[in-house]
Amino acid sequence: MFQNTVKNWHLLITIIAVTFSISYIFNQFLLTRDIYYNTFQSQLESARIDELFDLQLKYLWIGYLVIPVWITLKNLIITLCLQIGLLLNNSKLKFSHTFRIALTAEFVFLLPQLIKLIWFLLVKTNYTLTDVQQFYPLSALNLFNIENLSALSIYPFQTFNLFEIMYWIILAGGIKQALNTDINKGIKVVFSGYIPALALWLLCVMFITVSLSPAT
Amino acid sequence: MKNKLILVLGLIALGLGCLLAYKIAKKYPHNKEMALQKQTLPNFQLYSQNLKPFSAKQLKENEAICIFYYNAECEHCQYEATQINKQLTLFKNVQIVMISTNKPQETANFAKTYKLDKAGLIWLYDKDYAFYKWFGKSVTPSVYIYNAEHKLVKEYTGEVKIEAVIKYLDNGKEG
Repeated sequence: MFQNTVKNWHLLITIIAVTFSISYIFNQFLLTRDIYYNTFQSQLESARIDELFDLQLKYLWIGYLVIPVWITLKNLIITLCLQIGLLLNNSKLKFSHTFRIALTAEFVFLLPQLIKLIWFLLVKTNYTLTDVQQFYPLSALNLFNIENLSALSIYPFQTFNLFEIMYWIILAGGIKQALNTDINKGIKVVFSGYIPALALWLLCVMFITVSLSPAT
Repeated sequence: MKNKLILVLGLIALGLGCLLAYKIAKKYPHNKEMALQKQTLPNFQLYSQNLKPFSAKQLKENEAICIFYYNAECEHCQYEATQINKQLTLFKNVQIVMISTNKPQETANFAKTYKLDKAGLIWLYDKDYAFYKWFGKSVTPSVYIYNAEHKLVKEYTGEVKIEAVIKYLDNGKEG
């Protein structure tokens, strides 16, 4: 799975292309003018909702532009975290090889995006923008009633999901394979490199939420 | 060399993590306290346009209050001011309190531009940027609707149509 049969940039382009396609379908078929009306009609005048929707359409390209930058940057940072984890465990792996492991594991995060797309296209067809923002399949968030949760806990509960755990396992498996060692070593690298960085990221998001959102 | 670098990075990350956790633990209960505080009209202390102190106690009892927190420069606030002017009659027996950090001259210009200067609104000056002390963090525009018992019936963050405000003023009266 982590052998050099496919080049890193092939993996990167594939992830970007699939994410781009999912985003395009989302914007075309799910984030429609009607959904904007569903979301804002209790607070805004119709003309203002139209203005808001048109503005969103006008700047949609920025969102598409962000996709490759975000995916590349995220995987580079994760590679760096794994490199730190490797160093802490007295192991060495080439940066490009670690990057490949991160990119391969990244494919797992395409699944929740696809499930989300199918969920709103076929199952929950009457929804608001908030529903779309808050939905994360097979996450801890699904165990609670969102209305009873504070804004502060939504993102951590979304982040703790089955795909995230699969991601850790794939990362650990990749490291195990690359180092030709046992899975424990891989798990140690993930837990000493990636997990602390994820915890720090969660704290950053929670801090921004508690600072900006009046109703936390 | 590499070990030292990792140690420094680890310490920075740990320090940042502890700082963020401390800030979150401090801010979260404060936000909750603020949310609770404004459920009943807080006794705010602001200034009238002639810079005389004005407190919430000077507002009429047994009459609903609609507080618009705005800024004269904000496009959404300007839109809301236009809407208030168009539907002023709907605010019968309601004290409309307009609060902003704008200086009296800017407020006078704003009121005149949107023909609200002779509408009987109460214009208050948040000279010390102290609004957050009573209502927590607020963006402009924000609307706080209090019923005749001065209990908060609805709070809107961001632009809101006047019909949505009136709906809650009516609910407040019924309640």
